[in-house]
Amino acid sequence: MTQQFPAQSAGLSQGIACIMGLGRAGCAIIGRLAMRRPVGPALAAVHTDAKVLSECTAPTKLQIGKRATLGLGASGDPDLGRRAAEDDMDLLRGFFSGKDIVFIVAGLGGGTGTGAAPALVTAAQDAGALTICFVAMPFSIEGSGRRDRAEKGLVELTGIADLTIAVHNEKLFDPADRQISLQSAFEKIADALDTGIFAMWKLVSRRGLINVDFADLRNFTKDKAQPCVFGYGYAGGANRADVSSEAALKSPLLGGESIAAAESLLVSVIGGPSLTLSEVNRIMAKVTEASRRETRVFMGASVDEEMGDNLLVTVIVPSADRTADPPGGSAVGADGQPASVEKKKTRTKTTQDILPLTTLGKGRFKDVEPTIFEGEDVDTPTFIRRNIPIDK
Amino acid sequence: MPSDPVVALEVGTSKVVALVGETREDGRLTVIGMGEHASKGVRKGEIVDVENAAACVRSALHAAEENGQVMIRRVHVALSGGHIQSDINRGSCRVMGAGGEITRADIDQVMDLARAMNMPPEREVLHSIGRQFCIDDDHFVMNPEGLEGAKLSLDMIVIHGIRNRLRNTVKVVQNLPMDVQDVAFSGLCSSMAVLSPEQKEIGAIVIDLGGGTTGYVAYSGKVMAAIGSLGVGGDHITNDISLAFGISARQAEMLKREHGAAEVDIASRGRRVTLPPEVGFPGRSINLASLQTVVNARIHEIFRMIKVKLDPLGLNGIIGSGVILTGGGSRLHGVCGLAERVFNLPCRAGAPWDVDGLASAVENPEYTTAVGMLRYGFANARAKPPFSWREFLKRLFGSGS
Repeated sequence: MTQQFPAQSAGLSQGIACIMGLGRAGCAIIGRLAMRRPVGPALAAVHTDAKVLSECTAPTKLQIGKRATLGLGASGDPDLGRRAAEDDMDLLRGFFSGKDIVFIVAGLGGGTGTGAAPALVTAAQDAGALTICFVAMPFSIEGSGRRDRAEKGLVELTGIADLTIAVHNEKLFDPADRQISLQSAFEKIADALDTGIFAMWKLVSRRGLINVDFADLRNFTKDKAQPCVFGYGYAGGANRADVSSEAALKSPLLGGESIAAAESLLVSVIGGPSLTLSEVNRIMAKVTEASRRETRVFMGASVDEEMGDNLLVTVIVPSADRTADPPGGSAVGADGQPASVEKKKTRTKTTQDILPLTTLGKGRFKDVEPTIFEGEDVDTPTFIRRNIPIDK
Repeated sequence: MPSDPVVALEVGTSKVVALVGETREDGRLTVIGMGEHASKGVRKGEIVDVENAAACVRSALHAAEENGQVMIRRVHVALSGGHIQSDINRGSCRVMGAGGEITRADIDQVMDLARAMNMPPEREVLHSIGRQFCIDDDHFVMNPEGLEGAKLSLDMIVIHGIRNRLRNTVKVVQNLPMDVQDVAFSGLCSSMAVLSPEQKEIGAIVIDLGGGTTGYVAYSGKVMAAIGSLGVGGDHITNDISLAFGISARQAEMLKREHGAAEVDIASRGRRVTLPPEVGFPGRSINLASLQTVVNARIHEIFRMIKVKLDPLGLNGIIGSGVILTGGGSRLHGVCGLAERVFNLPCRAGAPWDVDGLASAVENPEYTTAVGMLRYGFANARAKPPFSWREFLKRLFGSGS
């Protein structure tokens, strides 16, 4: 299919992708991907910890920061993780060279994932690649220190990566569900990340029937300072279009109100060879119905033999957490139990803390009295305040 | 006989400049010595680190002494900072002279009234500049003495800044030790350096694109219409570049000087410029169009901020000679074109006017403020100021000095 048209320009039009798992969580997901989707983009696992790497089933493994960590983990210290990646920038850059799209998967909150991810993004961008980060945010049971580190890391990543997609582990589970085991909980998270990456890769790798242009994607990610969330639905059978799109739109990962509030959204439809035009129509109708009229919708559709008779619908939207303050946000849980509402409230509060945007990005002016003009702090770079995308 | 030399000192955000000047027999200003030192401890035109700033001032003055073969004891200091603003204050009084003839006493009284402006206690008046006298609310004149009328009014532009910050700069100089003979607002100095009387008459806007601050002055019909300062300058462009591409300030400064442009050039699309590697930084390449986008966003905003300040004055159509850009920022490629578009006026880069002497000092836009300070120093030495500068300094900088 790619041979049909002459390549417009070298580089991006090829859509050569790679997926890199970073840290313990990232390595686990790459291992899964390697087993479940043997055909596809290049996979690599990156870690500071030699032991974790040796147990990982990824085809390519890169150990970073041998000097900084002596082959042990970054022991929950993001600074150590960052130094580890910076020590091995050449190695990473070498790996990224020639790639057009780089997916970086990591769990935030630890040392390597949180600290090294921004350095990986920089290395990939230096190589001229589009960077898409998938990150898992920790459970609150993992402690407030971990959560704080994760939130700081998320802010940093969203500031530099072309697109950052966060999976809030907690949102995946109904707090009332006491039956789920820890192992199956983590399986479920890995499943969500795996699906999200697969959908995103299909969307941008230019192998689909309807592709999302890189320009569209850049447009979509113009407001880079905001992390995205995604929801997905997977279904087979006669009503598969309705069922899968509804499941995607109602996905707990979206946090309920994201779709209605979103200014733009990305939809990916992946089906087997039996995917029909009317099904795609049906799905898009559902999505437009759920969103506002002025919302810009970018969509892509592709066929994957392995899907068989099933259909996968994925919706990606900028997270509404920054503005949303749902007084009775019961869109997720239909049961509306008081306990679950309470839990949700505390969660929204903590996520709002992560965006101290006004103090970000002032560089050398961060310690001097700000110059305020028409209510704006003009010490912050104009291109940041005006949301002008800068192609590095 | 040439006059006694005057020394102008500008403690800028990017550099400290000291110029030694004298007036020749024919009254022309001549620069006979200059000293310069890269500035440390100054942000947005204000001192943030006294010791570093003092060391820079000392070396700049020392260099000027050597270069001009003079001993420097007293200096005129140009003050800058985003806090320096102006207001127009009107004073009016009934004409007391016999038969309605306006006398010197009436003029003195109306000047006192116009100068007396209510201000927050932390602010201090730096200059008060008379604009035009108005007789009976409808007749504008430059000198009303001897004319007849019942009521005399005067509009004065009062330039003021925050006392402590003005003092900081002066203290750094005084502690060298060095006598501060006079102080002036740097934006005013720049306009004095580049504007000829004809330009003031037909109207002009002077924009001094400095390192830490941007000064602006507008004249129309020989009268100053507006003057002020913004705490945004070339440093911000550098900082924006450094944050946009994640590079050091030094590299960003180099990129700005060599490849920066105020407008995105179509020819630069797709072109990349290479940054040489330096310690801790591998070399990398930067998209030229992106670089210019970052610079354009900032400089466009600076011009727009000035436009917002000038628009309410209704200067449209009465600025005959257009916009004159000076200061280091006026070297930026394409900056005149951008200013033309924003202000919808012709624009050119300006250097000091009617000055002789060291070519490097009088031909480069970076030294405009210091040259203007020299001119200001001579002007105020010759014509007796309307009030005692010594008194003024005492009030401004404490009686202990």
